[in-house]
Order: sequence, then C-alpha cells, then structure tokens
Amino acid sequence: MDGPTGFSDYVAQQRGALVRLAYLLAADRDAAEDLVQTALVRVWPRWERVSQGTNPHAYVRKVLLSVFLNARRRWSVREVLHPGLELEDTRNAYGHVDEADLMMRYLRQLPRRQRAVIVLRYYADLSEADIAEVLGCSPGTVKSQSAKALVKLRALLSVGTQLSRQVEGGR
Amino acid sequence: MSKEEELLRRGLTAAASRAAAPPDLFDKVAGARTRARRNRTRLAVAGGTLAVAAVATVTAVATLGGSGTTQVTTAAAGLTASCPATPADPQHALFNAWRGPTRVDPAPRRVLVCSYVPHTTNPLTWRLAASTELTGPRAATVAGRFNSAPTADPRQRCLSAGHEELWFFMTGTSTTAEVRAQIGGCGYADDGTHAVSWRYPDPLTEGSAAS
Repeated sequence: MDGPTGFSDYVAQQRGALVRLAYLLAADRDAAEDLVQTALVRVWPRWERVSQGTNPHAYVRKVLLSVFLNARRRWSVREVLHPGLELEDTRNAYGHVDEADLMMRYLRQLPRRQRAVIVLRYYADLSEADIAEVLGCSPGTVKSQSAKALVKLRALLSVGTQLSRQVEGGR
Repeated sequence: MSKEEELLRRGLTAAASRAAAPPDLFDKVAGARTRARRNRTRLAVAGGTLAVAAVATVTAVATLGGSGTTQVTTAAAGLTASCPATPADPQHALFNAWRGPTRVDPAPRRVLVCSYVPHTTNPLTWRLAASTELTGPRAATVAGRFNSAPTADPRQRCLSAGHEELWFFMTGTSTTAEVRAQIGGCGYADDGTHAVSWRYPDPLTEGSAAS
C-alpha cells in the first residue's frame, strides 16, 4: 500500500519511541502497540499537512495522548495489582527488572491524567507549559495533577518499602 | 533535580525499556492471557488476481527455504497459488487499504488460508506458520462471512493480533480475491471511524465445526 510521502520513514524512525511512551501510559505492551497504531491511523490521512508543520512528532504524540485519555473503557479495564503483593517474586538478581516492574505497578495506580502528566514530565521531559498544550489544559492544572501524582507515588513507595521490610524481617 | 525526580526518571526509563523486550521474556503468561481474551478479526481486502489456470486435483506442498523465501504452495494442474513468506510488507505502518472487490464469489471452489504468527524474536514481523485449504461448505462459509461484512478504509494493522491470515479465494480457473485478515486481534473501541472490527471467528475453527 502506498502511504503519504514520508509517513513510512517517520514510522520506521519513531515507532519505537512512541511505543515506549505508550507503554508507560497504558502500562501494557499490547495496549501500547494498539495505542500507537490507533494514533498512526488517525494521523495517516493528514500526514501531508502534518509533515509540513514544525514538529510532526509532537503532533503525533499529542494524538497518542488524546487517544489514551479519551479511551473510556479499553485502557481502564486492566489488571490492577497491589504494589506490594509480589514483592517476594521480584526479589531476585534482576534488579533493573524489579525497578521497572515496580514503576509499572505504581503507574497503574495513578488516574489516567495524572499518569500522563508524570510520564510527559519525567520521561518525555516536557515542560509544564508543553504538557498543558498537549493535554489541552492550563499549566496550573498540570502543576496540581503532578503534585497529586507525586503524593500518591510517595505513598505507594512507602507502602512498598514497609512491606519489603516486613518480608525481610519475617525471614 | 531532586533525588526523587531522579529516581522517577530512572524508573520510568527502565520501565519504558521493557516495551521493546520480546513478549515472552517478561510477559509470557500475561500476554497469552490477553490474547486468549481477544476474539476479533480484522479484515482488509487487497484486490488481486494471482493466477489464471485450470483447476483439477489439488495437492499441498510445503517448501521451507531461507529468510524471505519460505513458501507454502497449493498446486493444481496449471494453477499455483502461493502463500507469501510474509502477509504484507512489514514496513507498512497500516495493514492494508481496501482496493479490491468488496464481494467474492459466494461459492468459491477453494480457499487457500495462509496463516502467519509473530516472530518470537521480533514481534513486529510475521512468519508463515501453516497453510490450509478449504473446500465445499467450509469455503462457502468463509466467503459468506466475508461478503456480509462491512468495509472501511484504511484498515489498520494490529501488531498484537494472535495471528494474521491471507485468504485466497479461487473460483473456476482463477484466484478472484485476496483477503488479509487478523484473527484474535487487539481490540479498542474509542474511535468510530477506525475501530471497525469484523468479528469473524477463525475460519478454520468455523470450517471444522461446519464440516
């Protein structure tokens, strides 16, 4: 199938980055691929115009966020695990896996919009103003969402640490 | 940057790196469970006349070659319809666009089903796993289901589908249509335009039940 000029090249170059971002948002690899594919399908018919803009990747990222935030059911019906439930299973030699695993568990606990703010701020490295633009809200809202998310993450981290100590103490 | 922010960045980067890991490395069980829940089929039609020849007795021949040359061929006297090594160019971001007939012969002589599964090392690409020939009522069942489905364009490709299939409809002396299908595809329903899923059962399962 012949796509719009440059679209395949863009996908070849950026798909990996989009999937990684989507993975943090959706907290599920399959869902992340779906999310990216849905965003690309939406952008595809408009690619000629989008590619002439100043930052096509920012546009695609915005579409991806929009798909994620507007999906009412699919992304919310996911397994939600208690952050401390599988501490023993994750206590192995693969420290980096544990870290990633815990992070995904914590992210799943956040409401979708707070998760998006955290991922955009601390993974995509966007400023609060840029996040506000992507999410279509005010910088103040970004700030408050970020603060709430950090409070929740701290609490989760605290619970996880306490449980971890209990597990260690019980041995 | 505070220590908390640094930890957060590091954790997010570590977590994001898992997106690129082969599915069976971390999420074997979860992935299988997810796929088992899925029961959707996406179809795309690619117009195509593959060959024109007489149909007589049919034999299936499997030929396994090197990378990119794997083929399963269904051969009849003077007619050869082959399963390509991959269902479509993996570079294509979208699965396919409709550009062929919207309806196929309701009573095809044969339907060649080429089945593809994701590569274990690179889940973004597909490899040929099997080919099956349907005849009689089983072929008619597939044609009937295809003909009764709506069409929309572009059809998107869902990379986390369980597997993909190509269906070659053969009637009389020619292959009249090529259908690209995803069985057990990923589902989402947030967009009325693009979330079209034709809920076909797997034609092979369906065919077995019918015959």
